[in-house]
Amino acid sequence: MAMFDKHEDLKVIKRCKRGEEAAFAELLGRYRGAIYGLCFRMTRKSEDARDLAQEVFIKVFSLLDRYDETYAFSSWIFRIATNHCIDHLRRNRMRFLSLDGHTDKDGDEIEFQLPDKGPEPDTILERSEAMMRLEEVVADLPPHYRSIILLRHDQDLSYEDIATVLDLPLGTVKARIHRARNMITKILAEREYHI
Amino acid sequence: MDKMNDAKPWTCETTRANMQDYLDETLLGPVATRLFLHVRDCDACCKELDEQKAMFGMLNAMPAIEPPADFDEKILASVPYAAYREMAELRAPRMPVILEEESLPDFVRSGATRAAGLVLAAATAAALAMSRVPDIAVAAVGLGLLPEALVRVQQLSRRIYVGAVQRNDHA
Repeated sequence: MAMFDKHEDLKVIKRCKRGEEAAFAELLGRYRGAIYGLCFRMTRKSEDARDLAQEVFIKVFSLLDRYDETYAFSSWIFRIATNHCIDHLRRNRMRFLSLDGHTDKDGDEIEFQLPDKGPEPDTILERSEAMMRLEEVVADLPPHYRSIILLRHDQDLSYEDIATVLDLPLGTVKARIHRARNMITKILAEREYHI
Repeated sequence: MDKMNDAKPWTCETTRANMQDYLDETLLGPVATRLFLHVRDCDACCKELDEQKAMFGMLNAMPAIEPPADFDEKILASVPYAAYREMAELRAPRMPVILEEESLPDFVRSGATRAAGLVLAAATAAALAMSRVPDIAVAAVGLGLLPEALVRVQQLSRRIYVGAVQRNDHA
């Protein structure tokens, strides 16, 4: 993966498995921002993001013995985080506005979540208007499309890495990313947002 | 994703179908060139490519979001450090039995035996040098050196083994 060094991660994980407290702090430091960012952009709620991201790390840190070192640690933790966020969104399903009530070619529900209240006012002030609109649109994508867009663009993962994280065939990943981008383009046009 | 071969004409539809791959830089060179040439001459596709480029650029530039300051505390407080340490001891590679000190009999390892052996070897070697004992006495030299040699070879082997395990751990 572009941002994460598999070999350096493995060295730290070996120290974690020996019970070195500093090693856990180091591993947390490496992934804190990425996992929290993913959770925040999946939920758009800072409290939910905080709880979800903490739960991801607690789960990962208690299951390190089960981590298969033949795969990148980043793939493992992103998989846990993505699944955790999607499970959370399913559990706390808000009102969804179904496009047509059917499933797409991948069997995923096509649905659009109604916009949340969005980020806090002081945060809005710090962001450019265009970026804010784009983030709003990304947040309104169905969870599976939102997560794949975030893994590709926010976390800068390659298609191959995303296929590993989501345990999907490469072709499905590409098709889903293309579809997600088309959705973004469509929603931007519908809302007359110019970026 | 190459959705167009050289034989077919390149259209606006083909451009749209390949535009994301073009921006992802996953199109093969010749296909990318055809798309580029089409976009250069087609205002509508040029506009769409610009819009897509802007969207890609912004998606890639979404600002990092930092977690709250007290984010780490709950996580680090939950880690079962003691359990990991216990497991580490269980997981630690065991020294081969032959390298354990106890694998040599107590009387071989005892200081008295080793010292007596060295004295015997030295005395016999001196006697051999002065030709006062038959050559067969060289066996007594070997026998005298044996306890000390066994202990030292075992110590050296253990150091080499531990070093190798530690290097492997840090690799």
